[in-house]
Amino acid sequence: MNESGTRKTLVVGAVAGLAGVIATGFVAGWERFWVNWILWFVFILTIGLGCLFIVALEHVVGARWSVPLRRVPERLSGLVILMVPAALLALIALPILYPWTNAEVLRDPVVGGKAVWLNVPFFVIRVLLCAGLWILAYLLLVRGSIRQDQAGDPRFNVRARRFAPVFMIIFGITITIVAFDWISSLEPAWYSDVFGVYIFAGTFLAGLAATTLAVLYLMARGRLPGVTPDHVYNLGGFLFAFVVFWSYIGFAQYLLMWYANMPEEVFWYKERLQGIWGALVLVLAVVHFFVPFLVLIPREAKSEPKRLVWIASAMLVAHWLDLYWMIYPVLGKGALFSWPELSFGIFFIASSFLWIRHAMTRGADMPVGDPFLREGLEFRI
Amino acid sequence: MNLEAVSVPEEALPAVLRTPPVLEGPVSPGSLDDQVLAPVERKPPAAWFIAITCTSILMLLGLALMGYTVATGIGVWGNNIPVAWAFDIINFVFWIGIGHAGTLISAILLLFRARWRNSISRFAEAMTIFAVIVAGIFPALHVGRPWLAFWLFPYPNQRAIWPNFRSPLMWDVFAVSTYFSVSLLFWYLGLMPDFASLRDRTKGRIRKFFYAVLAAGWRGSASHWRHFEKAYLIIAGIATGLVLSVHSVVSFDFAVALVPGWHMTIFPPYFVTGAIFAGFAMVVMAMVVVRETMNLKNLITMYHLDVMNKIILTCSCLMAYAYMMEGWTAWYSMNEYIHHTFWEYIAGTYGWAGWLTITCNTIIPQLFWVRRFRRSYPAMLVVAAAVTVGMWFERFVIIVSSLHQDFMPSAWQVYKPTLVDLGILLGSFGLFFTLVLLFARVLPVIATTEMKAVLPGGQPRHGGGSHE
Repeated sequence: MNESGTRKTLVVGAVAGLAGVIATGFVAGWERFWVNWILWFVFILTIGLGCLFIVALEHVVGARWSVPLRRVPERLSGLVILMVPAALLALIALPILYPWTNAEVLRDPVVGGKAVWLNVPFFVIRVLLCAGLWILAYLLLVRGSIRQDQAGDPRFNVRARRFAPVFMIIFGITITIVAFDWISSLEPAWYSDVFGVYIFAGTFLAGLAATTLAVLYLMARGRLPGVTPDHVYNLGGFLFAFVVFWSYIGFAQYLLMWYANMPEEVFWYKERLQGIWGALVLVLAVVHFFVPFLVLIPREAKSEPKRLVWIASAMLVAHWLDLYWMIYPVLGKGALFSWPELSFGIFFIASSFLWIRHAMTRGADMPVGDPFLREGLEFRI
Repeated sequence: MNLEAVSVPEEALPAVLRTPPVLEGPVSPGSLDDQVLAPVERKPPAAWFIAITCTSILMLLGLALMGYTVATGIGVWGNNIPVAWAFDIINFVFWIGIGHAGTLISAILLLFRARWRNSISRFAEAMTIFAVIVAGIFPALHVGRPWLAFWLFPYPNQRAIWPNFRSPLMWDVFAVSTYFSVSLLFWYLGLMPDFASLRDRTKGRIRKFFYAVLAAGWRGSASHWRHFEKAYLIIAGIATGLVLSVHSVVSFDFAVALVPGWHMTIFPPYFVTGAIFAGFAMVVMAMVVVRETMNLKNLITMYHLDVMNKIILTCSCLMAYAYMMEGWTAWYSMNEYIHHTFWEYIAGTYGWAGWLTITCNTIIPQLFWVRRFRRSYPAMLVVAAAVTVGMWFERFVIIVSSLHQDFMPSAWQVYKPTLVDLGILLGSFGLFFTLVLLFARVLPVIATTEMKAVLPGGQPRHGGGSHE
C-alpha cells in the first residue's frame, strides 16, 4: 500500500473506531466505556513511557551502540504526550469505576483510612504532576535530540547526561503512581508493595517490544543504513532479559500472596484466578514467559528479524492481556471481548499510528547530529 | 549519509562525555603477566603478615566461640522466643549478600560487555566464594547439632524422613548450594589459563606441580580457547539467573511468613538489590587496598572505582525506593499489625537501628552524585563502610525488630546479643579476610587472560572504514 493509502486507512480506522467507542457508551453502558478507556489508555501510555525510559537509560549509562537506534524510541515516546489528554479525560471515570469515590465505600475502615491519598483533588494533582514531569522530560530528551540534528551540538549530550539520572528518579516515582492510582486503586482495599516494580517491568518490556518492531520495520525499508544484526541482537538480548524480569516479579508477587493466603490481600488474585480469568493467567504464563523465553534462548534468535517480529508482537499482546487481566475484572461481567473492545482497540491503535507517523516527519530517522553516531554504527559484538 | 561531517573527534568532546581507557599507561601482554603474577611468586611484604595475623586472631576467636556454641548449645546466644532468629540469620543473610557483587560483576557485566569489569572480576568472584563459605556456617550452627545438618539434604534414608519441601529454609539449601557450586566452577574456569601461565613461570617444583594439576592440561590451543569461551558464556548465563534467585529465596525465608514486616511482596527484588549494594561496598573497599598495596594502579584505575561507586549510588536509590514502598505499604495496607511493626522500626526499642539503616544506606551514599567524591579515597571508604554497617543493621531491623513484639504481647521481649554472638560476628569477618589475604597470596588477583582482551590490539577491529 502506498503512503497516502496507509494514511487514509488509518484515518478511516480512527473515525470508525471512534464511532464504535461512542456507541459503546450509549449501547453497552458507560462503565464498560470507561473500563475500556482506562485499559487502552494505560496500554498506550506504558508503551510510550517504556520508550522514554529507554531513551533516558542510554544517556544515563552512556551507551554508544544504541545511538543509531535512539530516534526510534524517541519518536515512540511521543505517545506519552498523546495520552496526556486521554488521562485528563479518564478523570471522568473516577466516580464511575473507582470505588473510593463512593461515600458508602469510604465507611469501610480500610478504604476510608486511605482517603487522605485516595481522593479526587489529590488524584487530579498527581495526574497533572506526572503529566508535567513527562512533558518536561520529553522536551529535554527528545526535542533536544531532534534539534541536535541540524547543529550537531554536543552540549545536548551533556545536558541529557545530566538530566537523565534525575529523570530515572522521576520515572521510578511516576510509574509507581500510575500503577497504584490507575490500576491498583480500582480495588482500593488491595495492596502489594512490589506492584510499582511489576508495572515498571511490563512497561519497559512493552517499550522494548515496540522499539524492536519499529527498528525492524525501518531496517526492512532501508531507513536505518549501517544498523546491523549486531544492534538488533542487543535488542533481542534485552527482550530476553526483561521477559525473565517481568516473570520473576510477577511470580514473586503471586507466590508470596498465595503462600501467605491472607484474606486482605489474596482476594485480588482469587478474583483473577476464577473461571475464564484463571485460563487467561495460563495464557499469560505461556505468551508472556514460556514462549519468548524458549524462543529467544538460541543466540541466532536474538538477531533474526522474522522470529523477533513474532516475539515482539507477542510481547505487546501479552502486555495488553496483562493489563486486561488486572483492570477488566472490576467490571464484574467476566472477560468480555466484543465490538466495544475492538472499537476501542482500533481507535487507540489507529490514533497512535497517526501520531507516530506525524512524529516521523520531524527530524531524521537517526540522530545524525549526535557525536557518537559513528561509534554506534561501528558497534559489533 | 555523510558520517564524517557529524563525527566529532573524542578530544573535542566535553570531558563528561569522553570514555576513559580501561587501563592506563603502556601495558603489554608480557608486562601484564609480570605485574599480576609476580606477587604470587615473591615472598609477601611485612604488611601482609601483619594483616593476616590480625585477621587470623579474629578468625580463631570466632572458631573458638563456635566450638563453645556447639559444645554447649545455642543457649549461649541471645536468641530466645519470640526472637528465635537473630545474629545467626543476620550474619547468614549479610554474608550471602556480600557475594552478590562478585556474581553481578563476573556474569551480568560480562553479558553487558562492560569491559571495565575485566580487571576486578577475579577478585570479586573470589570474594563471592569466601562470602558464601562464611555464610554457610551460620545455618549449620543454628540447627544446634551441626553434625546432623546433613539431614537437610533430601536423600532416601533409613529414617524414612524427608525434609519439608514446602519450607523456604529447604529452598535455601538448594539455592545456596547451587550458588556455591556455580560460583566455584565459574571462578575455577576463569583461573585455568592463569594457572597454566603460573605453571610455566614458577621455578619451585612443588608449586609447579600444584599449578600444573590445577591447570588441568591447559595448553592454550585454539580448540581450548573455543571451548573455554563457550563454557564461560554459558556459565555466565546460569550465574545471571542466580544473582536474582539466591537472594530471592533468602528473602522468601521471611516473606512467606505471616510476620508483619516480613510478609512484603517487594522483598525478593529488594533483597537482591541490597545484596548487590553491600557486595559492591565490600569490593570497593578491597579494591582500594589492592590497588594501593599491590601496585596495580594502572589496571584498576580511578575510572573503575568511579563506575563501581555509581553502581553503589544506583543501588542506594533503589534501596530508598524499597524503604519508601515499605513505609507506604505499611500505611496503605491499613493493617494495624503492620502499622505497629513499622512504627517499631523507626520509633521502637530498636528505632536507633532503623535510623542508622536509613542514614547509612540511603543518605550517606548520596555523596556519590558528586564526581569528586566518587574519586576520593576518604569519601569512598566512608560510604563503603557506612553501607556495610547499614546493610548489616538493615537485616537486624528486619529480623529482630519484627520478631521482638509478636502477636502475643505477654511474650514480648527485648533481645540482647551475648558476647558470644558478637565474637562470632567478628570471627566471621576474620575468616573472610583471612581467606581473601591467602587468595591474594597464592592466586593472581586479576584475570590476566581477560585483561589481555582489553589491551590495545587485543580485539580485532570490525568494519573500521566500511562506512565511507
